Amino acid sequence: MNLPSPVNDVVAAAAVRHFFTVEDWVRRASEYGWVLSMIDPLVVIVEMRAANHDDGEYTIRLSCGYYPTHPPDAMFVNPATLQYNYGEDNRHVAKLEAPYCHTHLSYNFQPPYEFGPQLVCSSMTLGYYFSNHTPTEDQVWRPGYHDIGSTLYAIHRAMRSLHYKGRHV
Amino acid sequence: MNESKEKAIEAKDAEPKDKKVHVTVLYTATAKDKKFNAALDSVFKGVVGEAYDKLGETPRNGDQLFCHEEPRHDMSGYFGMTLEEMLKKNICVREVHGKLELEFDVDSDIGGAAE
Repeated sequence: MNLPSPVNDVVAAAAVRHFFTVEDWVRRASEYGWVLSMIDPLVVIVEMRAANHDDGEYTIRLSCGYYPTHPPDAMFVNPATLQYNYGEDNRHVAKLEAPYCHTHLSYNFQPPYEFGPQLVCSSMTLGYYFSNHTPTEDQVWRPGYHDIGSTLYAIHRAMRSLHYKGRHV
Repeated sequence: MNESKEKAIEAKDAEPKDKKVHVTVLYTATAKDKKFNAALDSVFKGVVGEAYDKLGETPRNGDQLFCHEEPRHDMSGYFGMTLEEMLKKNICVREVHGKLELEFDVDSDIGGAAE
């Protein structure tokens, strides 16, 4: 399987802007309690809560340089720095063990992956396609059909399920 | 009027006046939703089929159905039930202000792995 390639920045930024205008997702974001902001035309920051855990608020950084042809990279980050450093920021990563969304603190990407070492392993995230995983035809990202909301929902779904196991340590 | 007749009238008054069920289905991967009405004696499996048609989606292996209300409840065991049976057993069909409502999610299959 060929590795994804970045999209023209102008095209990617327009697709990101468009996502913020999709009423269906605006409504769902409100219902689900997602708080979205942008720190760059290609970087979306999302605050999201897990279910039934007092400590369950997380910050997710979506990097959209390959979007919309490919999904955004999704990474749990330190809310103070909006970065992730393996080791010191582990507790800012939700421990997700769903068959459709599994977090790895430090994945052995071969070849190296620009957004590694964290992997939110789901066919709705970019890292999945850089980590030798093979989705079925039904699971694969479909540009124009899936969008940033699809990525967020995959994580939200795991965070609100029994597959959420608290924080990494 | 005797007591049993009064009770029967009270019970009838307590029944939802609107016998159709207002169905809302959400396709979670795209945030698209559709609303339609179904008869109370409809079998849930048929309602699910109509929901896919309204959404313009095809049922796929790995799709999962959940009651929309959190904590979400897996609906896969109820395909053979009528909406009336689900109402009586308090499974996702509920009465809100004299109106019967069923709100459920379709989660499509997504790839992921622990390795």
